[in-house]
Amino acid sequence: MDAFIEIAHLHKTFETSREVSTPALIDVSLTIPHGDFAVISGPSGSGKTTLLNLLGALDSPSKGTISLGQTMISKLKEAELSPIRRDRIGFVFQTHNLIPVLSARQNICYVMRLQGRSQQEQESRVAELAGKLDIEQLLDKHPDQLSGGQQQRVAVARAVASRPQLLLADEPTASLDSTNAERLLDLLEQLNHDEGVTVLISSHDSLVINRARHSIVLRDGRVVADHYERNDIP
Amino acid sequence: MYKLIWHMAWNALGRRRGRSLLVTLMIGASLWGLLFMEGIYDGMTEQMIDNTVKSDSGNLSLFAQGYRLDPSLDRLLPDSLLNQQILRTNPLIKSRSIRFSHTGLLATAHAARQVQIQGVPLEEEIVHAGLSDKLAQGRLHFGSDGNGAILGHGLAGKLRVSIGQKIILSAQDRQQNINSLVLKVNGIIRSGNQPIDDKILYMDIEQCREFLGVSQGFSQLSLILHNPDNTALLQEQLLRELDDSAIEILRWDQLYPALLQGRQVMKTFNLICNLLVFCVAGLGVWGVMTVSVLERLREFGIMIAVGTSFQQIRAQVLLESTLLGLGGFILGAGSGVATLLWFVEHGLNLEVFQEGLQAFGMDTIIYAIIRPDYFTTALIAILLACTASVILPLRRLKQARPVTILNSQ
Amino acid sequence: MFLDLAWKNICSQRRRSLVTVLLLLFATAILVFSGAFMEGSHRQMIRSAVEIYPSYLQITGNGYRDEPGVDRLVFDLAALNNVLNAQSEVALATSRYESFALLVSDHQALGALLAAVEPDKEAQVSRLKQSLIRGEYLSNNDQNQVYLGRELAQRLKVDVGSNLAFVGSGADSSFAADRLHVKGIFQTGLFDFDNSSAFVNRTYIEPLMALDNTASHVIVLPHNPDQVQDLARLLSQRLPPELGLEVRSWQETMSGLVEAMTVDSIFGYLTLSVLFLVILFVITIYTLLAIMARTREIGILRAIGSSQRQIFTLLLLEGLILTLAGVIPGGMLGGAFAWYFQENPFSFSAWEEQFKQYNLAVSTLPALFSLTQILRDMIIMTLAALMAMLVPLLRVTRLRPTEAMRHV
Ligand SMILES: Nc1ncnc2c1ncn2[C@@H]1O[C@H](COP(=O)(O)OP(=O)(O)OP(=O)(O)O)[C@@H](O)[C@H]1O
Ligand SMILES: [Mg+2]
Repeated sequence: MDAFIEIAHLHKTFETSREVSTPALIDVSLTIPHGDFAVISGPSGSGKTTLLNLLGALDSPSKGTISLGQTMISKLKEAELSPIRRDRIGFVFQTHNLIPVLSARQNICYVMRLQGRSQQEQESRVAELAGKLDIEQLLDKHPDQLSGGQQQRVAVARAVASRPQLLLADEPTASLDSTNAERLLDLLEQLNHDEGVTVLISSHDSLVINRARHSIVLRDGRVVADHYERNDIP
Repeated sequence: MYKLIWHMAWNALGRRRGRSLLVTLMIGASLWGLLFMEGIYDGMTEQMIDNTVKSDSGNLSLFAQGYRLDPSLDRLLPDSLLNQQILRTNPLIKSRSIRFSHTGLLATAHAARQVQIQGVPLEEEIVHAGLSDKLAQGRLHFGSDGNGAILGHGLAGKLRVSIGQKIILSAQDRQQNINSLVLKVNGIIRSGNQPIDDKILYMDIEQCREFLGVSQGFSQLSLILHNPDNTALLQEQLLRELDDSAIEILRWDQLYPALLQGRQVMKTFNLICNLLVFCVAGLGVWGVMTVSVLERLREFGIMIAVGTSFQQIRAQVLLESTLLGLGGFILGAGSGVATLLWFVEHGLNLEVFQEGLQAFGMDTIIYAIIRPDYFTTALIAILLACTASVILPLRRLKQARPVTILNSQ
Repeated sequence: MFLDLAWKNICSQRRRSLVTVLLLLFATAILVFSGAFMEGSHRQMIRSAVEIYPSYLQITGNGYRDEPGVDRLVFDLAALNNVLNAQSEVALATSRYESFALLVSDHQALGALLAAVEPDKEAQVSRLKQSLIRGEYLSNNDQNQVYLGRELAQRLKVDVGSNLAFVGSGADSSFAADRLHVKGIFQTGLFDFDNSSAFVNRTYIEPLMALDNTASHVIVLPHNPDQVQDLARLLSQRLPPELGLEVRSWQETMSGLVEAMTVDSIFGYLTLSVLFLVILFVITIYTLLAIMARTREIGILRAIGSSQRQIFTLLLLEGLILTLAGVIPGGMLGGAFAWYFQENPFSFSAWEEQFKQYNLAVSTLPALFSLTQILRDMIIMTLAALMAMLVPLLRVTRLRPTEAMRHV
């Protein structure tokens, strides 16, 4: 098995106040291979968001290590993390994903512009993704003119536009109805399949959990289940 | 990359248009006020200096050694001094005029006043002191017989004399005899230099020498330069070339230290005003920038999450505040220049306060001045204020972890 | 209810509250103190200029001030004195005869003011006696004694004990000349005055200048110097017209100086207004920010039934509380400074020369503590601050509830 993400003995404790500290993740060890399509589930407060944030290098662990490919991201400084976030990771949050001052098109291009991609490349990528995600009509609208589901699709487009190796999605369907949720999942699967992006979704939505190839279950900060469905180990 | 930052900053400002406009307007209005003030005040100061330089001190004045402490008819500069090469052909000198001064008593049938008799070669003095601009009544002429006189405005007022009237001038001559002479008032001037206006009587230098029993010589040689900045240089040259045991060579600011002091006070005052105004304006920018950073935390969080570096965000926020500052600068400098140009051309007419202004040695119409350093000082101050105003909000942004920024609302 | 809500909002928006209060405090303190200082220093300058020699109230022959001449003198001094002595408001009256004469020393002859005064009374109406630096002041019995300004003495190269001669003319335009003996030298600090004035005892010069019952000026010292203008008006009415006299208060005789001080005040306030402009702008900005942050809340208030008027009142009340919180201590602070510098005037010895050039003989400048001025400034500041808050306030109260609620 070709490990892409290696999580070893990861702890994360929040110091809520001087006396009280909340352990959000306790001794989490996981291996995610290239091209995986994994779903992290568990009840509310079990640590799903915390884990995704750590993977996305938005937060640093209290103990333990995370490596992404050959890079031990848990050891890097903030300044070294931005290029990793920019080039290797795409992020979709639960809500309010988009930069409000930019139009949908500009949001999708944003990371590519950060990367310094050419105008042409940006345009063709936007056209390609817009077709796949069915958002051609929305490209020149601003986020506050889009519905929740439309925003979420634009967010996915932005997350994958820069061709990241890893796509992290934190409860992406929480604000969507089931039809839209299905369409979004279709999309993620399609991207996973077509572009080989490793996808990691957190959710307690059964709709999502059922689609998982690799299912990870957290409870009270611990991994209580970690297995592949339908025996289709990549 | 720069284009991206520019784009983001511009969009952010446009999104809160009312606020951005208000800040720009604030900076513009305060700059306008400052420029107007500086231009007018400097205009006043320079006018006072200019009046004094022209009517009396020149940029440089030469006196016989000891004359200023004891202005007697025995301490005169010789006529031969004027033939000195350095005074005749020096390219720094724009104009020169000699003056032959003495005190006397000027009387009409009703009243008498102390006067400062100033024997001058009229043609030279007209050019040198710009007398044509200062003429209040009558003509600049000593008459064909040389018995005409031109009086200071204040003196004429106190004696209540008018053009064409006869006046009697008495003074003690070199031989200690008291002589009297009847003169006719041909002109009245208003120099703006109050001591001169209150006391001066111009008459023909030859007539004056004869009256006072002196065959040659003069008390003061006043020099005006093409470029006043060269005053100290010329003073040095003259000190080297001329016999300084016999001649005193003094700059206007040595003759009138209070004027120089006044100019420096004005400079300091302007600087303090600039500082105070832009500190307060900086407070305004700070408020706007803090709020605008804090209410965009989520936005910055997303930007960081997708790989924007802190440096880029810093550059963007800094650019936003700088753009506000520059907008204000352009607005303020533009309207300020327009206003000042008008006052440079037409002057600020304060005739209502004529008496009061004259007490300060000022004219009733004050012409503004525009100096490039108003704008450089203001620009630096504005940029500093704008930069300083984002330090605190940016520090808050930097200290937080991306996840905290993302989750704050 | 409103007050309670207003107070909560003020506390919850601490940055706005603090900035607004501090700026207003600062602005009010500066306004009050600058006003007090300008007023105080101008009064001091005028007072010293008035008291050195011109004094508070002058009576001259009709038209003498505009055109001084021997045909416009006070010709019946005794009659005038009789009228003046009958006035309860008049503390003292003394006569002067001013003429211009040539003073001749062994070295120099100079034109100067030669004034005949009544030495004892003169000492009470001007600072002539106080300004003595060498020798002695004149006395009522002096003969041939002269009291000279320092710069004039220097120019004549004479000192106490030296001899001089004067050549002038009398009230009847006759020739007058005599020898004089320098009794004392004075320095008032007014360069022009010290450079051109000489004084002699009146009784000595009366016969020489044919001054019998005539004078050029009569100086009146009122009991209350603040009411000099009223007294001038009163005297104008009471003096018999056949005497042909006119009465002038210092406000008229020194109108140039009074105007110069007005000009100075105008420019002072003009300068301050630039500072206040930016301060008021900042207050507008912070009000706008504070109100924008609460647009949603205001929308909800509207949605649950508050009227536009109520919300406007609430916001205005907040503004008023903040304004008063800045203006009142600011006024007190400025007032305290004004009080302190009234009691302990600024000393400007370094600037004395500059003042002298404008004929102002002062080395210390006090502030003037005046309750009415402080209150006036505080009211002006309060109104200005409320005006500055009005624009954003009107904007938000005019929003429709749905617009306000949608605002993020
Ligand atoms: N910033 C924080 N400070 C303190 N405690 C936190 C913080 N973030 C999360 N926690 C705590 O850590 C634990 C895990 O939280 P996390 O957000 O990861 O749960 P989750 O599985 O994402 O829940 P949900 O399904 O509700 O989103 C919770 O007990 C939460 O209270
Ligand atoms: Mg969560």
